[in-house]
Amino acid sequence: VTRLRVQPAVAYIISQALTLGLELAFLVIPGNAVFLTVYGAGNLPFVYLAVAGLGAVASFGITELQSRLGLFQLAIGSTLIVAVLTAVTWVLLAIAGAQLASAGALILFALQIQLGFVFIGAQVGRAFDLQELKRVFSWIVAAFVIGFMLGGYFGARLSDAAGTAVHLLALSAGLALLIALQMAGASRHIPVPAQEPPHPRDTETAKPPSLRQSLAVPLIGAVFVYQILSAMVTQLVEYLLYDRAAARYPVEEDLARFLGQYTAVLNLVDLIVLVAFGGLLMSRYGLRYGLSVNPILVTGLLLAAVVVAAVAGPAHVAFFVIMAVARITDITTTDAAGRTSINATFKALPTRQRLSAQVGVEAAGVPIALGLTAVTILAVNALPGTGITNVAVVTLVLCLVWCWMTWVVYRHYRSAVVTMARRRLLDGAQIDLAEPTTRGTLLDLLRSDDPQDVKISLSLLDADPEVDAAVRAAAQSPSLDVQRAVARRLRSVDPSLAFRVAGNLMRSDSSGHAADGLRLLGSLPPQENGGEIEAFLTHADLAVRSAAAGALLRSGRGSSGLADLIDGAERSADPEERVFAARAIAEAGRTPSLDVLEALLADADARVRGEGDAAVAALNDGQRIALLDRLQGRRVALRALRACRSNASPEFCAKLAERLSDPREEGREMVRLLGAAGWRATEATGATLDRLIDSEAARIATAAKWLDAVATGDPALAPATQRLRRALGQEAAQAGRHMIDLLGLVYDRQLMARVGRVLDGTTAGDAGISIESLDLVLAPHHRATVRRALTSAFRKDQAERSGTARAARSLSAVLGALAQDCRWAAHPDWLLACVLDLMRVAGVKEATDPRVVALGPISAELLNLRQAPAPASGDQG
Amino acid sequence: MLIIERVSALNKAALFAGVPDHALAEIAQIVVETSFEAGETIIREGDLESWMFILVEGTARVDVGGVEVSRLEAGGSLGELALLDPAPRAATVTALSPSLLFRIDHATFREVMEEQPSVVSALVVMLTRMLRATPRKFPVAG
Repeated sequence: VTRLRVQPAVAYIISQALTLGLELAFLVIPGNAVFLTVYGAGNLPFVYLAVAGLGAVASFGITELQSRLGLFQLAIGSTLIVAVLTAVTWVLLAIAGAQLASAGALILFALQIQLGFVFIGAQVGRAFDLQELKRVFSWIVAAFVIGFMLGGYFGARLSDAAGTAVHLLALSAGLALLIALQMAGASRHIPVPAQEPPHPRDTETAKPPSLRQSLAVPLIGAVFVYQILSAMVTQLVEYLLYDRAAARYPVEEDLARFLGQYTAVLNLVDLIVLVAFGGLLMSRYGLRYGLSVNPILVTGLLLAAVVVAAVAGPAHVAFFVIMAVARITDITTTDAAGRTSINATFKALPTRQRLSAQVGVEAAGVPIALGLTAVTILAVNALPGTGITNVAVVTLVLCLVWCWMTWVVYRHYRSAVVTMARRRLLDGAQIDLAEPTTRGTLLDLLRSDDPQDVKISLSLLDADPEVDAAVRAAAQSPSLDVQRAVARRLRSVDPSLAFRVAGNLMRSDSSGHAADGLRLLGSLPPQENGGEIEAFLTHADLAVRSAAAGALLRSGRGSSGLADLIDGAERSADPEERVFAARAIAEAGRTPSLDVLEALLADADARVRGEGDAAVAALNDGQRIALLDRLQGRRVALRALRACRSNASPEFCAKLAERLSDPREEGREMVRLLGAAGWRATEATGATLDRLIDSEAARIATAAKWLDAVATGDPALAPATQRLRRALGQEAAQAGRHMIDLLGLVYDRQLMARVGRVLDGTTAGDAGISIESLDLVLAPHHRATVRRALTSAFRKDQAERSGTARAARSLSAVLGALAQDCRWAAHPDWLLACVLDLMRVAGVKEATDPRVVALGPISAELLNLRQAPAPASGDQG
Repeated sequence: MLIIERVSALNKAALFAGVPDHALAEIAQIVVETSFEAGETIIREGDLESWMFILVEGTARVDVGGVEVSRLEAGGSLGELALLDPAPRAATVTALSPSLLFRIDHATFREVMEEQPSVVSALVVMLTRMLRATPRKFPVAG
């Protein structure tokens, strides 16, 4: 559907760009031909001032109107106004003979080029996503350049044929009308974006920074100055060229012919450079080339022009030719490299700052540059001496400043890239590693003396072929911190060098260095240095000792005594020793004995248990599965499963999925683990999952049945009754959540997670809608079961119903029956405890019946039938 | 106190509001019951300790720098910050009446947080409230 809608939109937008090129060529040729012939280039600065002022007004007007009018209303309206004004200009020039109207044509040209691209850009942004936009935009630029080139060529021919260029304005007005029609056509194929109301908090906290705030950022400030200098030089070169052209072609028809042909050649060269070299050079040399090629080439040409002007005078043909070449060079390098590079520099800024900076720099930069250019020309022309030579000299000086600004922008860009690399984990910035300058900056970071920078660089450039050489160089650094930062990568790059670095680190006085040295050594192929590592097993620092034991275990260099050492540590009464055992296993990524690990997970000391979790997380898949298979204790098994959530490989998930039918809570934890790892149900597991979904539905139904049965109006029994009813309600809700987890393995996990959150947190009405919406997603065989079960599990009126329902049977009968029927629950011990408690409070004599109590081994403890420890007075531990 | 009664007491603590009863039953088995007489100091400002308390019965006064800043009733918790960031106690808490408290140490509480995400949520809410109540030494939205 999207493609069908997009194709006509592409055609309409590209045709607009082509027509815009033609329209602008037919506007600028007669405008320049008449103005330069009648008033001379010396008066062009007044046109620039008018363009600067009116351009700023137009920008402001468009910004204000776009919130009130739709895009196409605004675009068509503005284009029709340009068409009418162009026609009026033609009438004034051709019929009334008002030559001053040629200035109007030049002003209209400057405004229409700005407006035309704003409206085309807006249409593109609305019609395409970012990927399509990149692809389509090059076609649009090419279409515009072709239009301009054809306009130049035919403009010259038509001027020759008509004997004047003025009538091109009539064609330009007609082409503006055509653009308005093309916009109307495009509006039928480009969707209107849905307006999302701003979040109230967004309006307060997400307010974009002002231009002044943006310019205080060094990179933005530098780019702003660079852009102003670039625009000023462009305008001054154009001025110099037009001045010389007007001098060489004093007759309007000759000037129009030259301008037409020159426009055609300029755009042809622009097109060729853009298509043939632009992307190639940018991808090869990157932003540094893109920023500098324009100022350097133009500076070189200006230098040559100034020398010619000084030696032979500005009237010499060589000066004219150099300026003609300079303008072509300026335009082509701006299009092929400058514009792209400036956009790329903004990518080194946080997104919010980037957007406002781009808009601000573009909107304010051009009018400021035009105004400054006009003032500069007027000031220079007011100086005594040859005006045009002075303008060329001033332009050269500006070019030199522009070249210096290139270096400033480049330097600030590199700083911004480094900042972005350091902050990327905080703000999720995407770094374009294909950009040569960015990549070069990060490679330089790898050669830094700062180990933190080295780490950042390595984490980003992991797959870069040039990293290996830089890592070797860093390994020779006198700084042990830098050696440590590259230790991991060095393992694969240069094992012999890695041995040397490991030795350096191990001999360090710092425990952190020594531990990392041992880790590195343990990951390298075994050599005759097992004894050296064993010496660290008695190190005073726990981290070093564990790393040494881990290194020996991992590399297989450890003697049989090592397993005994870890086993002994696990049995030690000292929790520190037990932590050592757990850390040694975590360091090695494998355990010499599953018994040891099981004992660590069940340790009385919570810190040891935590280290045991880390050891499980580090185990290889085979040992993880073996461990899970042997664990029987619920708490220990759940701990191990939670620890396995990190680094759950697809192979591990596949093996775990074979155990999904485990009816215990461990089975539910497995489902959560698989969901978190992004595992999707296979054909082989489909039947098991269906069975589990049905089983959860049955659990919900059973909980609902007992909820309806357990009720009493006796206030004395209310707390215990409420507790039992809450236990039943929580059983149902937990079964519902587990059902959603199971469905997440079959369907879209994110969607199911959202449904779960809605069911947990909303009103009965929303919960109902959420459950019904599942019908759109679920397969027919799941629909009925799931809807009924979830509706019951997340019944929002359960609490209100408590105590008001009338029991059909006597309370003692109900409780007696429920005590015998707790095994279906996920937490049967707690449920039984609640039943027995209510029986005890209600005076049901079976409450203390050993046969009933024996139904749940923990329930006796829960009920404190075995006495809980007495309170310790004033004991603060 | 019966384990089932400890669950009822924990049920009243805001920190454990979202934790299902069966999970509270497990927490109830690892808390340490501690009692204080009126006037006894429960925690002292500046002490380096790594456990927190849930006030089960009684009332307590919270002083910072010798100035009373709040009072705690049954269900309130104290000393949570020490569990997250081992630093000297930020306040002194004194029992105003004979009080019963549950003590939970650092490592145990970390396990509870890992197993019960709702405890983390409750803790975040609690910390947010503390931040809001703190004089604006630094910008806090909302």
